[in-house]
Amino acid sequence: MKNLLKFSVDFWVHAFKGGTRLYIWLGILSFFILLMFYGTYLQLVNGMIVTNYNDQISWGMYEAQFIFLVGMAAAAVTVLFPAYVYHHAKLKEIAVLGEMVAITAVFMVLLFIMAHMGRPDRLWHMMPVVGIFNFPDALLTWDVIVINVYLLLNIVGAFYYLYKKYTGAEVNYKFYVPLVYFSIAWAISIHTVTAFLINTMPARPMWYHSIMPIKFITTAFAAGPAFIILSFLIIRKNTKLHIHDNAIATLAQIVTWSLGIAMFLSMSEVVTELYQITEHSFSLEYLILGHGNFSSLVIWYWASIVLMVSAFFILLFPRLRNNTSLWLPIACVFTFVGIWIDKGMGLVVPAFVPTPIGEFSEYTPSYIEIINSLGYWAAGLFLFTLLARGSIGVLLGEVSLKSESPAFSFLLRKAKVAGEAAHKSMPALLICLAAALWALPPGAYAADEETAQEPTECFESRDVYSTRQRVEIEPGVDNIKCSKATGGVLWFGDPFDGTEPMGEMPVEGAYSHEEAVVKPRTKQLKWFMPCTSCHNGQTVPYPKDKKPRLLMMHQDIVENSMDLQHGRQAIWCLDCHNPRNRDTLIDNLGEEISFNQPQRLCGKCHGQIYGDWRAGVHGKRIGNWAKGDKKRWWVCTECHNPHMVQVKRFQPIKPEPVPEYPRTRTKADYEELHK
Amino acid sequence: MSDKDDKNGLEGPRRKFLKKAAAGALGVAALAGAEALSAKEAEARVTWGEWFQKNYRLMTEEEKKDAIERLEQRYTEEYDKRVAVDGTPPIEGVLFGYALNIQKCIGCRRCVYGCVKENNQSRYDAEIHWIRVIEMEKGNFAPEQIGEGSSKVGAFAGEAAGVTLEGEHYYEHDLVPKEGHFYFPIACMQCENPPCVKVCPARTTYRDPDGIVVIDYNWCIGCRMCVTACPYWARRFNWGEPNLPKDEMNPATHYLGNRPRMKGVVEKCTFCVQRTRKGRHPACVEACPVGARKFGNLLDPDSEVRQVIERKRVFRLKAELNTYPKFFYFID
Repeated sequence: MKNLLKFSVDFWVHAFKGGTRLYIWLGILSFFILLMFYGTYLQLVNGMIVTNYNDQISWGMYEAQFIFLVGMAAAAVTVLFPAYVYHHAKLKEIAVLGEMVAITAVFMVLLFIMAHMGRPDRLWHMMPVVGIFNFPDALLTWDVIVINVYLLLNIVGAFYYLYKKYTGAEVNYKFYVPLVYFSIAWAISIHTVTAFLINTMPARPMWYHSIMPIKFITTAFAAGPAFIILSFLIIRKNTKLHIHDNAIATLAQIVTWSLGIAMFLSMSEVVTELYQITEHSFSLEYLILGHGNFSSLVIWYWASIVLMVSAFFILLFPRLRNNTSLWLPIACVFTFVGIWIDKGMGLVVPAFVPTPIGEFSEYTPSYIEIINSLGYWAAGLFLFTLLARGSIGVLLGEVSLKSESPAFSFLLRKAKVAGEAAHKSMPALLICLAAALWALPPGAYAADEETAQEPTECFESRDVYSTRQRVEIEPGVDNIKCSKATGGVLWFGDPFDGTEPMGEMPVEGAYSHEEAVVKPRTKQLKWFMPCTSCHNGQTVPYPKDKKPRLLMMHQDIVENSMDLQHGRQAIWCLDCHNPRNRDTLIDNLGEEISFNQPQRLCGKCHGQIYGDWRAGVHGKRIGNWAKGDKKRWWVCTECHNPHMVQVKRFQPIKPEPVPEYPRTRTKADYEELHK
Repeated sequence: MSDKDDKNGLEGPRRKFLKKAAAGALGVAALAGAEALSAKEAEARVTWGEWFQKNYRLMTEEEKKDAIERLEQRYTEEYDKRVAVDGTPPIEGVLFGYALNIQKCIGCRRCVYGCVKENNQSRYDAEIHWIRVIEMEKGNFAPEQIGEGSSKVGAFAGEAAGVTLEGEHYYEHDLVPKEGHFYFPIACMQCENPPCVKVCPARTTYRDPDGIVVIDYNWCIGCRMCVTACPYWARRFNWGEPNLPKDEMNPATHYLGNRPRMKGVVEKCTFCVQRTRKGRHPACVEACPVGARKFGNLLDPDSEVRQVIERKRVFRLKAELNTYPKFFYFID
């Protein structure tokens, strides 16, 4: 146990020991890390609104880095596989560095995932046992398993090996080799599952193809070893660790062929998608060619193609590939950057453009996203620098159990003192914690109150000639709420307000109207004046027959009574209005019908629509949805004007305001697309 | 403290709740002296309680009641009015369905804003709309445009041919319906086989027996897998703290429905679960001025929505994705 403690202290002490160049390097990284702390703080406090994510493009920078880095993590295999399966002696010596790359990459993956989450404080909700782990349904849970197990495998593998080296004991290959084999297989799984995570969504056609997992793996096996080669070259130059050319050559070959296959797969995808362009191809088309004035990714895509193709051709020639001082590093940088684009922003963002309903918009990361992403990368490189330095110390024998360790003995003494102090200060800590909780911000709800109350003209139905019903809104009564923009009713508190039973409806068919209520139109008649106050047989005599004749009155309803446009002059006023009792209607059989039930009259001719209306298919009803439950029915004349129907049709109305544009899209873009 | 209680008419649940808090489930109360219980401590208790509560679906009746009480207390304080949080479970023998007549829809967006009013969405700034009304162009044929526009023939690998794109919901007209256009509102389709539920890593969103796909806002971790997986673009994320003015807040809420949300969680249409589980029509149905929206119980052959399916030609959006939407479009 004590040996293990001494190992961990020695490892990290050695990692931090170095010349000015190391400290400058770590200082630069720390600067970005500090910036990231600020950015992350802003994001935690204000929410993801500090990013440029929006409803249309809800994944971006962070997810792009996440996917790329899972590939980097998997790429440790490119060192382990030749080393332990093909017994590549030179790679075996330094295989542990590959595992350090994996550990670092997974660490960064976890950072980016935390940044991606809207509620990182609730992470425990998706943990097994304490939360709910939706396994095996949700592929994200598979990803959680494979990534964390992979991290564990690599930590155990790498530090077991280093510890054995440290103590000078023999590595137990019966334990170690199966572990390595297992982690090789597991590495494939992490990238496969990450591909499945996104390519199982029919909602995103660009991702929805089975080439995704293999493309992920090949791109990972190109970008990963490219990074490892670069770090090996730097290590070789700056430390005493000898990394044989042979080891680098093997990795360079892996990069070459993986890159070749990856490009082949990309080409297959492009040809398949773009030969016969379908709805399935729009995202890719947007990525490659842009759409109208939305083309921010086009340059990135082509840059990535140029980088990858040139890297591939450099690597194809053994003479260039083996030139570790110039051409190989160039090819590696090209590969790394090319794939970083291709598999990062070039993969994640276009899948959201257009949206599933065909809306185009554009996304560029915000400054906060950029400083956070830089910071997470810096944190990763910081960690990798230390892990690599510690490992190199062990591999070189500079750090070993036998060597003196002043730091460790110093810490051992201090730990005792610190332990006692912590014990004493416990109550104080608790108080601080309690105080912090006590002072938790209650959540600022900014109430941008628009107090300017316009006089609202409120109407219930569609604004037509016959049935404009104005409802005065009394202050403080939560009955009807109308739109400030148009006056239309948006919300009913009591849908039955001012209604009365519709009355008997003696018709056949299985439907229920027992609880049907209507806004009484008879009452409305009386507000003005009952019709019968004039049409009483004396003031105005009862007409002798139903023949059309020129009327001098009611020209507001029908301008020219000889030209009544309902049934194109085939019917006239008295076919519907009761000549003997003008407060009612009358049907062809002479049956008196209330104004509350015009459907009994209209339905005589418009049978099919009447049937639909009775069944609830035609017309509006509010109130309760259940069969036979209380409902307010809109009757025919509440929407339709029976007078002059061929002329006075439904009039267009004012729409409610336009929804907010996504932050990265403007009205000008919209107009440009719709020229 | 008691003054405030009286003012809000909160004798019942809140008093009980305060007593519980005073009983000192937390050391916080003990530290500050148990008698002088300030609003802040009660709030801390609410925060803690909300923090550690279980997923709504797994709560016992007792825990549900607790969670609801906590929320009622918090909302009542935050919005200066008596807020009720309802927990009505699904009604047995009911499977909700929706039907929309695209021939009738005039694109006036009343449903959109009726929904915002009812469901306490963020507004004015960082706006959230659950319903989007898409404007579509009526078909036309112009022989002189053959080879130029949408009826292009031949192939060039790099240009879309014969496919209409750009579902447009940002139309700004003085009057609707606009000549030569029709309208196509979309919202959550309450799929029988919802892709969003499948991908949720924490089972935050799930399908209730009445067919409504609901979200426990207090359980959502904000990973947006569901947003990405939804083929109908129906889910919305609270990028920042939602902006809900006090006086516009609708105090009749449901735990799984229109209660105010917090930043960093996903929300979407619930068929107005707070209304429909109590028999009422959803707000959009009531707001629609042309009666294009129909709602009802799919298990009842006489319900309006079943009658639509019976009498009209219906179709569902993206039925090829096997999501089995319960949102039917029809024409007369």
